[in-house]
Parts: sequence; C-alpha cells; structure tokens
Amino acid sequence: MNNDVFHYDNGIVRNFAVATMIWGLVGMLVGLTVASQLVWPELNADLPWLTFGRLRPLHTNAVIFAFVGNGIFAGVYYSMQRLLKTRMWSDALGKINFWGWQLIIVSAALTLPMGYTTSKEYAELEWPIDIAITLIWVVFGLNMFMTILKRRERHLYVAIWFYIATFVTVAVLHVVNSFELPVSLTKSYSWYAGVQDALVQWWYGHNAVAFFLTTPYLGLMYYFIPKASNRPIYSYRLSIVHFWALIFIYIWAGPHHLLHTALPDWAQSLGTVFSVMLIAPSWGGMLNGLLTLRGAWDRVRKDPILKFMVVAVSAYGMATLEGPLLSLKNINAISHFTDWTIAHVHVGGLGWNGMLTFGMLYWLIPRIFQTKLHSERAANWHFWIATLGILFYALPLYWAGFTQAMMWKQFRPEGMLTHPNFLETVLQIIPMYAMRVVGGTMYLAGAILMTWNLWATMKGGSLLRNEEASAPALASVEGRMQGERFHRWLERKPTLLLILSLVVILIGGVAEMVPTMLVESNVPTIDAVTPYTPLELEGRDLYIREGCNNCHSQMIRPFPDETERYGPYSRAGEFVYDHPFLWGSKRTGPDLQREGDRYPDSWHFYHMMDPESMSPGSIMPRYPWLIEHALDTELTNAKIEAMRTLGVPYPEGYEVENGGPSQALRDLQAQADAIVERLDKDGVKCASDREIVALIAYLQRLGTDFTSTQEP
Amino acid sequence: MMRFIRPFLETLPGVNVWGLISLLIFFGFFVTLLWWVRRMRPAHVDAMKNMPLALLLLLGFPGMTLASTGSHWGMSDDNWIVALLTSAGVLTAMVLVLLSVIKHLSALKPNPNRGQTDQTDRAGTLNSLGMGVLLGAYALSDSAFYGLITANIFLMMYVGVLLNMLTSIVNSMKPREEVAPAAAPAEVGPGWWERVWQKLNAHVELSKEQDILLNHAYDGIKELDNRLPPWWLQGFYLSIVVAVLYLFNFHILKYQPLSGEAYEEAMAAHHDQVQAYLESLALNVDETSVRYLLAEDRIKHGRSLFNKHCVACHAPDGGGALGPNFTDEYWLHGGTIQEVFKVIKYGVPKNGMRSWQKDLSPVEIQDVATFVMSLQGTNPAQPKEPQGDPYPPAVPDQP
Repeated sequence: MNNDVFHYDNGIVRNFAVATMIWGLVGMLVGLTVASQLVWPELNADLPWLTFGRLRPLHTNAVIFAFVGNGIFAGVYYSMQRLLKTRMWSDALGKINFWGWQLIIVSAALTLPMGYTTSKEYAELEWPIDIAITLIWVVFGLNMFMTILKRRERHLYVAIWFYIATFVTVAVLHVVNSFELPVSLTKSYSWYAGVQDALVQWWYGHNAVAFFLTTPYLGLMYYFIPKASNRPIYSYRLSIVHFWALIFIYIWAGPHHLLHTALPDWAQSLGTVFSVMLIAPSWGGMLNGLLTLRGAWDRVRKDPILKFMVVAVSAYGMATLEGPLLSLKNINAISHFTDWTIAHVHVGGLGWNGMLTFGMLYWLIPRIFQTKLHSERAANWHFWIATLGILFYALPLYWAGFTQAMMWKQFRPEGMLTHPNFLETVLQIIPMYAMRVVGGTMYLAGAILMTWNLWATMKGGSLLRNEEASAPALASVEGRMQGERFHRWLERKPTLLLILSLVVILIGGVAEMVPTMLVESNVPTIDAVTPYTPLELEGRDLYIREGCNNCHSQMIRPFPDETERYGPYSRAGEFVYDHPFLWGSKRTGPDLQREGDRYPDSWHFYHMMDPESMSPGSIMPRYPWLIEHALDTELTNAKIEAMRTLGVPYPEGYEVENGGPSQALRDLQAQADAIVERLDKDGVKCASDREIVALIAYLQRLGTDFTSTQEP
Repeated sequence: MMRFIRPFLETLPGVNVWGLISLLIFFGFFVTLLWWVRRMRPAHVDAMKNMPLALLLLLGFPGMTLASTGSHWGMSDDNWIVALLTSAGVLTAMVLVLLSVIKHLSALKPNPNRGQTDQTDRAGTLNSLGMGVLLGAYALSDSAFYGLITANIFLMMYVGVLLNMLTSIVNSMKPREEVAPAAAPAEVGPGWWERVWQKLNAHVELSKEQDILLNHAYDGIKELDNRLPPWWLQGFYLSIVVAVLYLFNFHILKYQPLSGEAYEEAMAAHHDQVQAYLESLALNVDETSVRYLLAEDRIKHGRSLFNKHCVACHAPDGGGALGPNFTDEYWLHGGTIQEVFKVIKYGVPKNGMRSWQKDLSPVEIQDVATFVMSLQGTNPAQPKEPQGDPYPPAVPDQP
C-alpha cells in the first residue's frame, strides 16, 4: 500500500504553547494583584484602571481565555494532527486563529481596565470583541473540521469527540449570550433583561466552565495521559457513556448559580437535580484518566509530568463532586455569595486546568524541540510548589466562606442579627485573604519556574517545525464494517457526530430558556416597577463601568437573616427593565438591592470619595474621579432609544432633540439639580454635572419601587 | 464552630430532607443486597425455596405502616424520623435473620421437589400483588410520600427475590455444569485491598489485559475494553433516581415547600423562637430586672397570693401586724419594686421575714410585690406605726 508522506505542523503548536505560558503569567499576576487588593486596599492606588472592580474581570478573562484558551489550542493542534494522521487543513487559518486570538486578548487587556465592559461574567468583553471572538472561533472550527474530513485515521478517537463538542457548544453559548444592542462602539445593552438575562448568563457561564474549561481538557487528558504513561485507555465503553452523558447533562445545570434567587423554582430545581446527575459522567472522565495509569504508578512517583496529570485529574474529580454538592439548595444557602465558591472555582482552575496545562507543556515542548527537559528537578519543584499553593489557596477560603456565611446568618436570641454590620464579617476574614495571597504567590512562583525551565529547554533544542510522518490514505467505506456496532460506526461519521452533539446540547438550553422567556407567569409583573430615569440609567452604566457588581450583589434571598439585614427579598418582577441584570455572584461588600433611601445622598458622596470615612476599616477602593469627572451625556439619548428598542416603555419622543435638549436630558438635569440641593443641605458642595450625582441617583433608586408597595 | 452550626441548621428550610437522605442510604443498602443476592449460586437459591417468604412479608407490614402512617397519627418530624429509623432497624434485623437462615439452609442438599417451586412462586406473586394494592392505597392517602418510598424498598426487595427464583428455575432447566476445582495458586495472589478494588471496579487483572485490548490505535494510543465500573454505574442510576424523586417531591407532591413558602415557614419559626426566648426572659425576672408594671391582672394575681401567704403577718389590708405596714411611706428595706422583690424572695431572716423563693415563682414574687406597692396610700383598719425610712412613692413604669 502506498503511504502518503506529510508533515505535522509544530510551529503553530510552539506559538500557542509560548502564548499559554506568557498569558498564564499575566493572568496569575493580575489574580495576585486583585487578591492582594483585598488585604491592602492601597494597591488600588486611587487609579481607575487599577481598581479591583475593573481588574477582576481582567483576571478571569486572562486565565480562562488567554491561559486556558491558548492551552486548548496548543494541545488541540498538537494532538489532533497526530490522532487524525494529517497536517492541519490550512496553515493560513491556523495563523489567523493564533494572531486573531492574541489580538482579542490584547484588546481585552486594554478595554477592561478602561471600564468598557458588559458586566456579564466571563462575557465582559464588549460587542466588537464579541464579533471578533465569533470569527476566530469559526476559523478554528473550520480548520479543525476540515482537518477531520481529510484525515487518514478512519475512526475518531474520544479526544476528537470532545473537541467537536467543545467547538459547537462554545459557538452556541457565545452567540446566544452575546445578543446585545450596541449604543456606541464601546457600549451595548444585553438583549435580555432581569430574570431571563440571569438565566441566559448562567446557562452560558456554567457551560463556559463545562465546554471551555472541561471538555477540551478532557480531550487533552485522553491524549496526553496515555502518551505520557504509555498505557492504554482504561475503558473505551466508559468514554462513550460519559461523553454523551456529560455533554447532555452539563447544559441543564446552569441554574445552580441562581439558587434561592428570583429565578422560578422549577428552573432552580432542574439546575439542582441535573448537577447531581452530573457527578457520575464527570467522574467517568476522572476514572478513565486515573485508571489508565494502572500499572504505571511506580513511574508516577518519579515522573513530574505524570504527577502533574494525576493531581490534575484528582482535582477534577474533587471539583466535580464539590460542584454538585454546592448545587444542593441547603448547602448553597451557606455557600452562595461567599468565598467558598471562589475556593471551588480555584480547585478546578488551578488544580484541573493549571496542572494539566503544566504537564502537557512539560511533555510536549521537549518533544517538538527535539531535546530533553532542561531540568527535571525544577519540574518536580514546580509540582510541589503548585500543589501546596492550591492547598494554601483553597483551604483559607473554605474557612473564610463558611465563617462569613455563619456570621451573616447568626441571630441573637432576642431576634436581632448578631453581626448587623456587614463590614464586621469582612474584617473577620481578612487574615484568610492574606493566606490565600500566599497560596497564589506560590502557584505563580511555580509557573515562573516552569517558564524559565521551558525557555531554557527551547533554547537548548531546535524546533522541528515540520515533523515528517507517513500513513496510507483512507479509502472510503460503504455501510457498516465487519463487527462495527453503532458507536464505532458513528466514530467515522464526523458530520453526524457534530450534528448529534449539537442536538444533544441544545436540548437543555431550550427546555430551560424557552419557558422562562415565553411563559409570563415565570416573571410576575409588579405594577409599581417603572423604568430608570435618564440620570439613573447613566448612574447604572457607571456602576457597570466601575465593576461594582464584582463585589456587590443585588439579590436578596428569601431567608430570615437576609430580609432582616437588607429588606424584603427580591422578586422577579423588579428586574424587568434591567438590561443587563446585576444580581452579582459574590458579596465582598453588602447587597445593594434595597440600597435606595437607606442613607442620605451625602453619605454616598463621602463613601464613594473615601469608603473608610463612612465605614472604618473598609477594603473598598476610593473613587475620587467620580467627583472630579463630568458625566458624559453624549449618549444619553441614544441609550434611551436603545432601551425602548429592548422593550423598556419610555414615552415616545422622550429622547428626541427638537431645537433644544431632549425631554430626557432636561429630566436628567432636573434630577441632578435636586440631588445637588440635598447634598448642599448636608454641607457637600458638588456641581450637578459630576458623575457622582448620576451614581447617587441610581443607588437611591435601587429597590424602592417594590418597597413602596409594602406596608410599613 | 458548633455554636454557629447548630442554631443555623435548625433554621434551614427543608431540613427534614435529611430524613429522605437517610432513607436513600437504606435504599442503597438494599440495592447492594439485591446485587449480592443476584449473584448467589443456584445451590443457594435452591435452598431458599424452602423458605416461607410469605411470613417475612407479614413481618414487614408493621415497619411499613409505622413509617408511612406516622403523620396520620400526628407525629412530629422528629418522632417520625425516630420511627422511620426504628423500622429501618427492624428491617435490617429481619434481613440479617434471612441471610443467616439462607446460609444455614445452603449447607443442606438442594431440594429436587419441583412442586415446592411452584408453591413459593405463587406465594411470591400473591405477595407482590398485595404490595401493589398497598402501594396504591398509600399513593392515594396524603401521608403518601415517605410511605411510598418505604413501600418501594420492599417491592424492590421482593422483586429481586422473585427474579432469583426465576433464575434458579431457568438454571434448573439447563444441564448443570460441573464447577471445576480451582487450581492451586502458584504464586501469591492479590492482597485483600486488591481483591476488593478489583471487585468494586470489575477490573480485568493487569496480567490478563491483552485479552481485552481493542484493535484501536490512535498515534500509538490503545484502548482496553474494561467494563463500566459497577459502583460508578449504579451510582449514576442512583443519581437519576434521586433526581426524579427530588422533582417529584418538590413540584408534584409538594411535600416540601419551595422558596416563597419555605421563607414564610422560616420566618414563622424564627418569630416563635424569639417569642419563646423573650417569654422565658420575662419568666426569669429577678430583683435586678423586675419593673413596676401596675397592671390589673398583676394586682389581682398578687392580691390572691397575698391573701394566701401574707395576711397572717401583714394583715389582709396590708396595715401590718407582726410585719410592717405597707400603706405608709416608710420602708424598712427600701421602697422600690426591686427592693421589695428582694425582700420577698430572700426574706430578712433576722427580722422574722422568711424567704419565699422556694415557694413562689419569679413572676409570682413580682406580682405580690406589685400588689404590695399598690397598697401605698390606702387606709387600713388598724395601721401599724411607721417603721424604717421614708421613701418617695414609687412611680409605675410604662409597660
């Protein structure tokens, strides 16, 4: 038989691998910065581009899309070529994928600190970048799929199924969650509002974890563990069952981010039960990974690469047990909004994604550079520092989360809260935040050690840019092959596999989102709720710009301690005009959903200027620029128009200029004047065109529509 | 930390779901039991034919009834959980008895009498029909939910037993294969953990791996055809069952409340707790916390106690006899309610006033003291001369 001779492209792999390392360091450094800011708020430096609220999304985007993203591409480009016995279909598309992705990351690094953000978690990047992500993702998918079609390996290995599922699902998630109406080049409003926006966001957010952080990495695990250990995969059957179960069940679990919120109960229950059913499919991956190492455990003791992979898969198992447990309503009542969630996220991120990336890089870089790893000793050191770093990171945060939740919930026997001052619960856990900084520093130190080690390796070797390989071309086959059962047959039908995966992942989303969008009783109307005024809308956009939702939630849960502390619990109908929703997912600071009329305007003025003046010991950054800068009302009219397009019932012609300022702008000015007057009575001198006035207007509006309907 | 945990756990909505969890643990026990029973050798199963299983079913009735009709009899959640665990304990005991009987009987020769098979089969079928009727009855009653679960456990168990009977019937129709004697092991076999681990995962031994190596090869990566680990698969099925039960519980049977209702319940419980505490505080009044609350019911209550205990020394109208006059402005030991309370409670032994704290509750002492102070300025028939120091008249506290 004549063998085709072809070459694997290692150049693109090298590029992505180097990018992974660089962005890993950047992402971790930003993470360390924001973690340190919680302990030493001076590190906010009174600079808008460095505040926690603006940097935290930079950290999450960098580690997810820049570090893990490039890691995915590095591993996929390496493994796919070899599993399919072909070079990538198009070198050009590969280059576009690479440079396009790096450009996206750079634009994120520029826009996020500048405050151009949608506020939706892991989807903060504004609409032009969203379009770029779509294009590059399509480029990646096209390249990948055409490569599959021109393969020389008839059947698709399990890793490829995971790559295909990743591609289709991320595409669907990104597109659906990114439905937004642009107002300017750097500002857009979510198509969805309130409860529906929350559901779509967390359908997206959870499945970003599932299909960006999990499925591609499972694919990488299925390639790199058997290669590194020279062992066969434990169970082919298990890979089939857990693959389909995982991609089907994962999609439904999104509402577990919204337990005890205003999301309808039936949706919350679906989130809970599907999360519980997800344990087994996830553990199927863990089992297949760990049990593949049967017979190789003696080598795990000595080989740092195998050690990284074992910890990675174990951390995956732990995180995929903890996640479902956190999805039980009783446990979620304790963990939600606390650092327990953060600890969980980092066990998965540092443990599963980080460690597997490190193991993969240590294995593949020496190979493509035709040399040995520069220092196995340093790799072993890295392993231990990283593993300990994860422990030092997660354990203090578990303690912190539990402590804070208990303090929030404690009542004195007489019926009052034991800790009515939220700040007290924050100050209590700052020592744990400090310990977590130690953990993060260790982890970053390990990554720096790795980068040096691999750089030295690359210098000491020479890149085999095009690696020769040969294999016979694939003759097409009609019908079933001998002894080929259904799934085996499906494994050589990539298009069908892609379509089936797509159908499977669409089911959960449709089942949850369609009723929430279409059945009105899921979001009962509250007549007293009216749209935000133009000034309040501008204030809301400032809240989004400064990333306030990264520390402050706006969702009061139906628990006695919450209603005692914050007021009546949040109802679905209160959020119908919130494009986007701002329920938040963490309380580093108190919930703000009923902040309106809680304090006088002057309190807010002083608090934003210097939080410690009103709350001694506060770790919140200072926002003096809100008082120094004038509010930009260039876009106010356009914003009103956009909101009306999205269904918010502003009166017709409200934003139309005819000869003079629009009614909207005149109302804005009038409300601003009223606030300035109140400030003046309290001895605060402030011009009516400052940004702080808009923010105060927004904060004072929060929650007041509903409470006006309640009896005193 | 327990200081934090326990009070909090008590206020958790839906905390009685822990009862469901313990039920599911027992459910898991029985499923494991079924699996073990499923894998018994035919000889063992033959021996089981001699068992009067119908009798066992009758023994199961009390346990079931106890568990599921608990709420009909108005049992509180705590008592109900105790009842459930008791009945589960009874079941476990029954099962252990069953197992030991089987073991004993398996030492006997298998009974070739086919007639017995039919008889116990019929008994088994009748029993499962009875189970079905019972299930239906419970399903229609409103204490249904946990009763249904318990009933289901029994049903599963008996279905399993029936399956075994079926298997043994089929087996007995096939020619029996000789069980080859095990070859003497040449080398040291796997240790006990290895054996447990292998059984748990239905591993193929490493040495026999080649037998299950598939003819897949992907860049040198090969795949084995190991079975799905049984514990994993059963755990997966269990999670699906749990999911269905959960949705059923919350959204169809509505046995447990969802968020809005759970909140109302939690608020009510919290309110009750606070009330109970405040009341206990009021009941624990002492000489430092007592206030002069001039209320009709207190005076009335105080008067009746005074008449019962105090008139001998202080005269029915408080004018004094052996003891001092209460109607004037002169007090021997202080004229505030706290001081009067103290005198009644501890007495003044050197002056002959006895202590009443062992006879009267704190509230009673308060009421007597209130009555005594209300006598200020009244005109008794034979007032005793003033004793002690003058005090300004006490002003009643606002309630």
